[in-house]
Amino acid sequence: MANALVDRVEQATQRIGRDLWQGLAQRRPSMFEKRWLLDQLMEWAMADESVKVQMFRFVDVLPMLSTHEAVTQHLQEYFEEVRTHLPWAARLAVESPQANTIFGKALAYSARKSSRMMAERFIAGTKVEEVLKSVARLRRQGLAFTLDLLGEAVVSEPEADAYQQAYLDLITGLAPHVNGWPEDPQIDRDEHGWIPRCNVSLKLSALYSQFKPIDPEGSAEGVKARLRPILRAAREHDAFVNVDMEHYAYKDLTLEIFKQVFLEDEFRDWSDCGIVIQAYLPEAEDDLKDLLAWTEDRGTPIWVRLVKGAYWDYETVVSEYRGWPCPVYTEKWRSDDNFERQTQFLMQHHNTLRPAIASHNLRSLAHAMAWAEELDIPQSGWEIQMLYGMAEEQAQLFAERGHRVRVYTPFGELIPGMAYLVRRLLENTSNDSFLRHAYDTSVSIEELLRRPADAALSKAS
Amino acid sequence: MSDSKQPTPAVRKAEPFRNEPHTDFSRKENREAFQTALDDIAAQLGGEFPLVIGGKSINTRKTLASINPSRKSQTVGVVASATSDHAEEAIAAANRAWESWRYVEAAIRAEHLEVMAAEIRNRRFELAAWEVYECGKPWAEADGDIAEAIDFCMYYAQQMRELGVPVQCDYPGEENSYSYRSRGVCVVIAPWNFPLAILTGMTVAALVSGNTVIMKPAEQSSVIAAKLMEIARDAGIPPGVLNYLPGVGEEIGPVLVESPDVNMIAFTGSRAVGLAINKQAAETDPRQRGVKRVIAEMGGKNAIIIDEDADLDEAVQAVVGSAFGYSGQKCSACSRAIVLEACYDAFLTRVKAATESLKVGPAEHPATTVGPVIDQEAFDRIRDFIAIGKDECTTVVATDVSELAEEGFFIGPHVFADVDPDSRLAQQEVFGPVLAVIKAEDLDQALELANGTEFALTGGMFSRSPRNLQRAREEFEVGNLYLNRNITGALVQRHPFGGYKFSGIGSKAGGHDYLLQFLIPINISENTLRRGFAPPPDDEKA
Repeated sequence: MANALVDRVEQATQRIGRDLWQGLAQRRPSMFEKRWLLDQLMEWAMADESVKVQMFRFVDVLPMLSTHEAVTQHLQEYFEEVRTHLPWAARLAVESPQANTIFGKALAYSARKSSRMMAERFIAGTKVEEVLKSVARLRRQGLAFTLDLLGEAVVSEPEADAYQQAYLDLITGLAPHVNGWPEDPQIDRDEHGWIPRCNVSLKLSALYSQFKPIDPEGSAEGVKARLRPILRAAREHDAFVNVDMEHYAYKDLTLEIFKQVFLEDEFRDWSDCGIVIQAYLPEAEDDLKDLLAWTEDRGTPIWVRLVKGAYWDYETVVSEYRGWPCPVYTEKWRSDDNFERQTQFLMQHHNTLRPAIASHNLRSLAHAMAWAEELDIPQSGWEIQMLYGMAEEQAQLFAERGHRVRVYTPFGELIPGMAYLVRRLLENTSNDSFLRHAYDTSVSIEELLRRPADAALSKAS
Repeated sequence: MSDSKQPTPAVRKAEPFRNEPHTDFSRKENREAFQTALDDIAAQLGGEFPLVIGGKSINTRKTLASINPSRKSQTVGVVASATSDHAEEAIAAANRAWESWRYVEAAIRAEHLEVMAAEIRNRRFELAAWEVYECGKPWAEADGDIAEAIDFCMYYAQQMRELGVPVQCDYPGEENSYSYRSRGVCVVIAPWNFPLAILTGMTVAALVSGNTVIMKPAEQSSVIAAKLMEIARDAGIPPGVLNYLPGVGEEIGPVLVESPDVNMIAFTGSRAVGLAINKQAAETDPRQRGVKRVIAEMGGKNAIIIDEDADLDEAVQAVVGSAFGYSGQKCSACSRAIVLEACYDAFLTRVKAATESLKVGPAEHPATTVGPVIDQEAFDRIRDFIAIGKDECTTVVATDVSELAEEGFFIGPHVFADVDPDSRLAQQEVFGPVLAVIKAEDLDQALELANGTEFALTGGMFSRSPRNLQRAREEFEVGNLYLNRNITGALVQRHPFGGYKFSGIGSKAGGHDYLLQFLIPINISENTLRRGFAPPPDDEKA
């Protein structure tokens, strides 16, 4: 019986996946061209690990450099070591110029320009007006959004105040505006009715400078004091607030604060809120079960964004450095597999924990669609989430097929945005990246749609 | 030799060693266990701790009260205070014990250390809790100190197992063997700021090398030292091999250092005391066995340079953490931030706000980042420095904790800017929560300022320019240079710790050549040729 169900869902996954693949095939080239230069740069970086490291480090420091001399100097310093790994044109650029020559200035200019282009691909703008333009454009494409303010690390109380204020401004400034837009039922309604158009994602650690897992009570107090006004503003202006996940060390505390605050009388009956579960953590399953019990007790549903997790490199490096058990799956297929199991769990409890399935992976999404189909969940009963600037063709395709697709849209200054940008670049250039294979004709559809556990077997053999 | 044509390898890899992991306090079970330990120890405060000489517990007429710096009214323990007669007795006991301990196999001595490590591990939170009360160490800092004590035991045990094997250099007709002997009686004079780790490190290094030890802990951390004595005894260290001699440094210190029966002094503490010990130990008494060996870890006036292109998110956190962790009472603490003009204002603004946001409070509270300072003397000294700062420099942060200061020795974090590089505030070790910020025009000047003190312990630089980082590697005069990270929290074996100039004498604690200082190298050559006949060399026998 159970096996029959699993087989049926697997067959549906394959069918849906192939169908999506077909749909994607038709739209590939035109979109591809626009980003040729960037893709080219990334291809080049991916080809050689040493170049990749130097390039990301260079991109990281660039916004801090105020003169073209500094840019040229850093460019040379970074690529000196890997000179022999560079294509000849790049080698010329690294070796020849004096900072003050026209060539030097041109080089600095073009480095800045390339890096700005890279940033603009993943970051929707620096100011609210630019963001508004970006989200309006998304909406024209039939896509919903959730906004994330990229900030510096919050190391002081004034910085935490500023973070809070930025969200208050965002909600009070943006919500009335977007609420005035003509309705688009596909993204403005779920199976229960109207849902907020203005949707923000925030990080609890940025709401209190002394956020420390060693002191859960004090941290919770500090966070909640700044979070409540944001939640009030959101309720007042019909906005949605999602609590993002960060490093593993913050996970339990983040969940705890989420549960505390949304059980308070003021927010207990409010369903326009959500949290994130990271499937690369083996603990995801227990956390979801715990959230289910908590939400049933609360009596008002919440949204759960299921992601694979964005801090994989950090978690593996840091746990090894500290001699702690690694909190994440070290094999990619296990994260994928867990993602599917938790997708199933969410779909089976979608009335309590409303599923927001966040992935760019064709297989993962096809699998989610198969479960929704199996359980007769309407398309409006769950949503797909994707990152701004990534997999735009997929997002379009899903929207056209009637899904609500929400684009996670970061905005903010470039310097503080760098950490986010580098994570995206890492993802896009990783060997396991689905995006990397999306245009790779050598990868077959069979391979892309293979069940995670089977992928592990084929790798082992 | 044909081997000499082999290219020298570009790097030599350190021997494998696994540091004791710090406790993950994001886990509820660990927080609860720590709180339970704190509650348990709270019920045990105020006990009495006698001297231990030659395995015998000795009560003294005079005693020292060890008090909780977070709460002056609370006595952590009443500790015996040794007289000079006790010091003589301890030296005699150690000398007697050396006659047998010196012949105990290196591997057996190493095993004793491993047993001690296991015992410390078993009692980890209990020992950390004692530190919280006795030294005002916040949770995570106390936990790190216990982990480091375990590391010292395990690492020196591992080192001694290797050093205990003689190096053979045999030729036909001659056997040459290079090996080590112990020095004799070693006096360990330890500070209170890493009350278990540093005391344990110096003590077990001496023990595992075959020396016997008189442990003179700091007055402010004598209760934790008594715990170490307990642990050593439980681990089977024979009577007299380790002696516990708390007391007033000024009274028994000179007796210990000047005794003709003492062969070595291992000291960690202030520059003034370190230099005095070095001088006293240099005097030779006709009765003594040889020239005394002194190793001394002294102070620092450590700087972090912030380059124009530094990642300020990281730099601000590292400077604040390094300056105010354990209230700046670490030899490795950052007491100067040298900031390039281009990012000076941005840096200072953020450091100011970040410092003002730190939680100051009793060490028992998990929220506390900055606890009290150790005692009244430290409190007064640091306040003097703050007065100089307010007088001579721009006060950026002056945290007021007068309410807390009625309860304990609390001094809030202070930041001063526009500090004259030659002023006392920029030159002398404060050993408290005081940071001096100095502006530099360029990297040349920054390095010159950084090197412009009599110390050379730790230093750091935040930069994303490979060339500038390289300059720091070559030109920054410190024993421990940290690039793009905080400058405290050295781990055994990964970051062997110690400085030069007036920061220390001797090689680095937790490093691969540390034990050699406690040993005397001996080479033995035997002519094996008799009547034209010699046994084959060792490697051919097998």
